[in-house]
Amino acid sequence: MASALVPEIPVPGFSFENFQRNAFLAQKGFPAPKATKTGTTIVGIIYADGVILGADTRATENTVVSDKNCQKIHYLASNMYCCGAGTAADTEMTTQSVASQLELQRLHTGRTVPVETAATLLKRMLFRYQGHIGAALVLGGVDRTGPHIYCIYPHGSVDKLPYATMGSGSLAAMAVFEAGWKRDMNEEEGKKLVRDAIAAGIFNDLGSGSNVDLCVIRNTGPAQYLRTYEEANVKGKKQGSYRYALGTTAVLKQRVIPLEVESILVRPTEAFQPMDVEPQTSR
Amino acid sequence: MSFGLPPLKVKPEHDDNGVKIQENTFGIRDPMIAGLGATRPKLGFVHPLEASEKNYHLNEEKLNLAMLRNVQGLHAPMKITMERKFASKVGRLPFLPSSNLQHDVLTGRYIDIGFEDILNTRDLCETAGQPHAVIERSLGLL
Repeated sequence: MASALVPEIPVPGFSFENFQRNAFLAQKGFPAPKATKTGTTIVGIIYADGVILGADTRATENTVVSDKNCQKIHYLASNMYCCGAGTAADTEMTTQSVASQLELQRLHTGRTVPVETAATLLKRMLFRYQGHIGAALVLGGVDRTGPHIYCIYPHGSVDKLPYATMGSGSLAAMAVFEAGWKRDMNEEEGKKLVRDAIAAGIFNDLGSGSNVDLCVIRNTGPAQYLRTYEEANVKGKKQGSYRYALGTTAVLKQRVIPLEVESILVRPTEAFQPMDVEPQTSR
Repeated sequence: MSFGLPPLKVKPEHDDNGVKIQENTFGIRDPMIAGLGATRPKLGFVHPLEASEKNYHLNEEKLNLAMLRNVQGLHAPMKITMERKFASKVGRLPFLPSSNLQHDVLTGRYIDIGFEDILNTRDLCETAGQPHAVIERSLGLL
């Protein structure tokens, strides 16, 4: 319904203008570059005093590691954090968007926001985009009804569980949980269990690696983000030096070309220079 | 038993803006007004999300008002729709930008942040319609 005089003003939000062009280019042999994924292991458990979230720190682009130490545990509110697996940008933007909506909600109602609100906001947004936003999340937090762990899939379905794992390393981590999780663990046991689950993902899954990050959210008190709780994959030290000593290769000929300084000009810059603008004509 | 609820996922046929395309005697749009390429029909939606996104808020409101009608009767959605209609007809000319604050307050979007507030916002738009043509279009003369 557009014309040259009355062009269609694009609606705010996502624009699908280039989709057809991209499909045409891909067909002609110029596919779009692959997005950075976080083939991941992310986990969350409920223990006696709250929840513990854990994640590895590797981000991949197909078969190459693009970030050896990325942050997969995202801040949502002071009482809840969210681990993200899938397309890295999608998890980042989704969690930031929901974090701002939660802050608005907290200011509007004047209370700490329950974890269920965050789960509902996330699942509505992901269902709206029908899975095209590739974000698989483990949401964990504590509110006045107690500790909660939700796992949210990219198409918008939600599971509420006492322990959850997501990502490519989720099977390895879930095996550890199924063997070792029990009700009302204390903090040390809980941290060790989460660390073991992430380590299982790191060592048995190619998409996960590097370090273990933990986040402990207690019923009372602020959340504790333990960035790099443990460095599971330490790079090996080189045992010798492979540098060659000066003089290993003989010098046959030498020619020195000096740079002659022709002139030196010192120009002081003024502290304030007015911009050149055309004189405004009065209407 | 039918509750009269619209589908949760918007179907592609579900877009009727209610605006009729003005065709001349040959069944095409006047090229002097619409440009030379306007006779080629629009190819439809290139992305599966395009249809859904175009009418997302409309559909959400339809769903909520259908549920409200089932719960409270016809008067409730009628009053709410009436208020929203008033709010959308603020005394601005069609080509002037409006913040739509009253409409946002009535729909609850003033305390919400989504992709509509971040991507492709109105103040960054580079195209604008010629004012006279926009008013003529809104009056149905063009």
